[in-house]
Amino acid sequence: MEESEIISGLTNAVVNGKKDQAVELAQKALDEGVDPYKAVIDGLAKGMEIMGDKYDKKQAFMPHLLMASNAMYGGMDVLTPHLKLESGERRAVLVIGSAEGDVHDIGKNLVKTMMSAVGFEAIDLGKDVPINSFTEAAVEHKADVISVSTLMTSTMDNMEKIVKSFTEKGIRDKVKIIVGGAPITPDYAAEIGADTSKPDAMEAAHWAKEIVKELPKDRWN
Amino acid sequence: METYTPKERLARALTGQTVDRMPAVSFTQTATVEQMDACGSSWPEANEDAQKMATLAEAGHTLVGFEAVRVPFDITAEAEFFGCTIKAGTKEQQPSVVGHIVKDMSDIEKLKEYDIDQGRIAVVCSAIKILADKYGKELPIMGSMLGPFSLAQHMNGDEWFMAIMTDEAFGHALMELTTDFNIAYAKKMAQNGADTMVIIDPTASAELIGDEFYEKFVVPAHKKIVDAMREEGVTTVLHICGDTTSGLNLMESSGVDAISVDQSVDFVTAVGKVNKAVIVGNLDPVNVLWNKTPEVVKEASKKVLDTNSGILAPGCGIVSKTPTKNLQAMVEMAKGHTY
Repeated sequence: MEESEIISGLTNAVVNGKKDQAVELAQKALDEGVDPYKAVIDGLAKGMEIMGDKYDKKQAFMPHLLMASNAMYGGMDVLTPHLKLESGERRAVLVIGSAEGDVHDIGKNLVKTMMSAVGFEAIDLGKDVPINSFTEAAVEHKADVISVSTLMTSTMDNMEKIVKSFTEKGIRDKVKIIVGGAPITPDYAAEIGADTSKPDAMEAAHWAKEIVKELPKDRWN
Repeated sequence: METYTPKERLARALTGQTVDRMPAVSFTQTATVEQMDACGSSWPEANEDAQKMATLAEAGHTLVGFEAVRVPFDITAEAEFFGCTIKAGTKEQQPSVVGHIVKDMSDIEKLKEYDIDQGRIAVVCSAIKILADKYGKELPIMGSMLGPFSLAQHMNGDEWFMAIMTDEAFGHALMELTTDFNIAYAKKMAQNGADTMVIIDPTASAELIGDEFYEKFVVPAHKKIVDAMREEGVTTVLHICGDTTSGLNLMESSGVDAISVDQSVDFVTAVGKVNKAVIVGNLDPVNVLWNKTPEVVKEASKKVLDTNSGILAPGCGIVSKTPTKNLQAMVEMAKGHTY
């Protein structure tokens, strides 16, 4: 199988939400010596970008997006252990979770998927995450971007506390913070001291990919 | 022009008949911490006890001035009834569904036998009875329940979004279970005195699942509920969150009397999209009703009133920390509007 065939096959597997196919082609990529990084970025992630774009244009919906996401992670599970980065280079790190008190995570999971698709290593703290877990994980993993979600108005206060906890720990300038969820607006994000809020997962991922360039590389040393 | 009781006024307004002025109501949850402190009945106890639930619902009328009483305050009793694990609420926060119980067809089969007089849904029905006995002649008695698609999602988890795509038979079977339950529960509320039924089906948004799945799974289910309510003489209001603008036609095709839209919908556009359904909404519960002043509430209300159509109301559930004076500003604006 040609390399280009494997790469486009991976893209198609994600677009069509075929997990088995994505896993099989990811293994094939490894067997045939395709650069795993290329297989992830040009293959799987590209498929997810296509789906994100279709979602924006209302040509695809949550069911399609979740199927695509499943397929992408299926392929990534095979490829990620083989990713070799240039010496000194590291993938940007995302710490993500739903605010304490909020048990919803479908939106958070979509953000994680799109962030993974643009190259982030995602540290997923899950849902109903204690406030201090965000700073702890940020320090431990030398995070670049922090993403906090809430669907519920009653947990918006906790979102503010999470942002404040970064200031209190003296590490606010080491990370970029994005907040999101149905009741969250860019005005609210600014009010609580976060860097931004975006209307959907794909815009969030594109913002994050660009904004990490502003962060000094040696800030965690 | 003739004047009406609040009960008559709302029923007429929801069915497109002439009224003397706009009703001042909230179709979404009404309880706030200020009301709890004033009436002595608070979450979470008011979610579990019929008398406390009725007392807190009553505060929406006596303290805020809403021209209706409405229960319950959360949307988890339905999933709890079927055995989903619930994360308890607090004074400021509603309970949430955390555990899902349906994986496959056999799980659905096991849930088909149930006693509608059990659990917290029975508490809601008792609260309706208490409220109807006290206010039923004057005020609209609103019951609300989680709609069938969102209930299916609570029972099946996020897998549900994929199940409707990959396993249609399972999708229809679970929808049948939840729809039959919704009908039985809504009828029970009606028998206890509810005259207005609010169906809250947030995950059924066409924005989330697209028109095709909405038409296939949601419309027939909502239609059955609406038909059953019409037989009972109960008006229906459908609330779905998010930008539902493009889905309004499909939402209306179920026959609901009114559609409640949230703040991401442009009210004027929404009014122009429907044939007969009354559009209600859509003050932002966070960035207007909770976090702003009565002046801002009045300004935002004007935008809705300027359409001279529909009914002014919160765009989604009132946030528990919302100041009473902000809600009163909305009530005042609605009461002052003649069509």
